[in-house]
Amino acid sequence: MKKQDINGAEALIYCLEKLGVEYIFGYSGGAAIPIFDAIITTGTKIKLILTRHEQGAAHIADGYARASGKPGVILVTSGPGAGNIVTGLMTAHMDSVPMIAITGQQIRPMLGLDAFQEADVFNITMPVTKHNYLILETNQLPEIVHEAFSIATTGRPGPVLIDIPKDVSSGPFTGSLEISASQVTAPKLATISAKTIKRTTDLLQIAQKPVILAGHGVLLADAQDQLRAVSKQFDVPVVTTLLGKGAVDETTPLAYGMLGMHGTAYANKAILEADLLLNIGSRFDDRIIGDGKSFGKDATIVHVDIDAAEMGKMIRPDIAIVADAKQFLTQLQATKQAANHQNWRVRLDGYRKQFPLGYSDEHGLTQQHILDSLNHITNGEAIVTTDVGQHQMWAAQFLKTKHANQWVTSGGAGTMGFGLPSAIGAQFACPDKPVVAIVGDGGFQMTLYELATAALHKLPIKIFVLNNHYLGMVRQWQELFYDNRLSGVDLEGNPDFVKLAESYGIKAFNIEKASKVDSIIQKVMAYNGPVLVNCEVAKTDNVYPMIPAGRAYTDMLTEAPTEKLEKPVGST
Amino acid sequence: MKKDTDHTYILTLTVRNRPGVLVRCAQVFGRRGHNIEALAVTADINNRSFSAMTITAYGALETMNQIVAQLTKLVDVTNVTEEETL
Ligand SMILES: Cc1ncc(C[n+]2csc(CCOP(=O)(O)OP(=O)(O)O)c2C)c(N)n1
Repeated sequence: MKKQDINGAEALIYCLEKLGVEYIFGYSGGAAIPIFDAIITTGTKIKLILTRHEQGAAHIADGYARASGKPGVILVTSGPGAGNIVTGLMTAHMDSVPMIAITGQQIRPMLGLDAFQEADVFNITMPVTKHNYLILETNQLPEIVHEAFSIATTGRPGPVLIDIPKDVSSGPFTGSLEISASQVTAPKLATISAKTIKRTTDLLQIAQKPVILAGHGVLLADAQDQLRAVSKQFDVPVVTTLLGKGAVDETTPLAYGMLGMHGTAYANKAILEADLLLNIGSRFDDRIIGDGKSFGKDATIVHVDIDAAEMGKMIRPDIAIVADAKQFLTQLQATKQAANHQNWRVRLDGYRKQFPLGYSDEHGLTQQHILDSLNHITNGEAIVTTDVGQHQMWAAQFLKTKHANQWVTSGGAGTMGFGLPSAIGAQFACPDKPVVAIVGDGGFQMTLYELATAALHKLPIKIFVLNNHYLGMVRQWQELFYDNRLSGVDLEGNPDFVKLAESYGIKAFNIEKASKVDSIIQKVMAYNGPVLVNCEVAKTDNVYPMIPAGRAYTDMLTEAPTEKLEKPVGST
Repeated sequence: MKKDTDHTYILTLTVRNRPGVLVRCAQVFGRRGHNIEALAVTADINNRSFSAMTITAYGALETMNQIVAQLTKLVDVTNVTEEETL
């Protein structure tokens, strides 16, 4: 390809291919046509996947990124197309997921003139991206695209958007396609001093009740092996955040599950009693700390994060270490120091026995039963994506995560509609691994149009609709805090999900009886193709343990309260 | 409304001279419901790729430190210094 013969769009595709992009998830429209055209005229190896909605494309790219560790790429048109990805960008941004969004835009002379499908995408998306660009010169394309990838994937990752006016993408490209090193290099981190490492190992040895709190940062830094080794070396129990699942193998003895609002009782007891809290790569989100004044007040807190702005944002640490998790853990490992905390482990194992995660099908088949069976039948090896709500919390509790990048969920944004498209993205990323989507009947209906994408590409995802006919999590809050006044949570009018799936050519089953759970799940997991399972589950079950929003860990409920609860005043 | 714990701070930023950089900085304040009391942006005549930005704002020290950290994080901001005034 001679460079003077190509246009901006072709230069863009050339750069994306060079950067190793495998898939573009997209939805076309006027302002993006030149770029879609370039996918053909360049003869690129990149595969274009047409989704059914731009939000779907964004969550698919997000799921792809979380499962593969590589940035997901989306391509949409201007105005409404770009508007439809805002939730997807926010979701990725809140969870530090690397993503590149390319949006078509009106031609330059029309910018700001309310031209057809012209929207100020640059300003609309600024707060929901790590960085964004409006490209004004065709020849700037290669440099900006490379810089965008660098920003999206280094430091604390995140989505980066590139808005490209149609006359920029159609215009002749006369620049250089070979990129000089990007101007914006990865943020340079100070090396971790030997003194800091010594202080940490001393603390780990002196502590009677140390806990490692592992967040998404561990996985983003690809530091799960080091974390597992360090927890063994210093004999330290590990609790994880919702997004930190997979940092440790949850089937191993030092793993105590998820902490926080719906964490396991034993993880939360560990936090409550700890004298040393080593937080690696978690941002002390409000769902974790509950009441910030009492959280960890008896513990020495060490906070390790790559993002300096997280230090003291929610909790003031005693020791703040701005570092890459892998670097920090590798240095801890290299000290060859060790510790023994057997008494503490025995104590926590006592809590594990006293407050096990349990369920009873007395009032109808429970979601927990289905998730527990699924956990056993998949042997915890499936990639699991979830939607948002009660099912998400039960999935976090009952589906044990063994590996990194095996658990895909919208944490920070809590975006309903994430489950199905992210499973599609995860399956594109990992074609040979089983992928399971756990969704509620509410959230599933927000993005179910992507069933077409799954069917078309014969992606063998297994979709479990945990159908309680309610917006369950909101109903739970109304029951507990608003005298059970149910307002706007009844999902009457649900379609027949089995028929719906079948109309897309997707195999579908119903699970209604507890006695059928195992046999149907076995059949579903063995089937080579997409399957939807509609699970008719207890309508009014509630998720426990629960630390009501903004409350202290001492207020944890391990079962249904007998007294009326006060309305939460802390975070929403 | 000004609280007892609030002080006036002057933040001095070095920023890349790129479209949108002023909005990015302003959003860090706006998102927290914080007001910018005074603002000046001047081009660096020796190097057109950078500008200097001076922002005056009221707030508690903790909040201001958080704002500084968030500003420092912006890709187009290369340096931030913070100074309390009387
Ligand atoms: C896009 C979006 N809208 C609203 C909410 C608020 N919300 C959180 S959980 C929930 C209920 C989810 O219901 P469903 O999908 O049926 O799952 P369940 O809680 O019943 O398991 C709602 C409405 C949200 N998180 N995301």
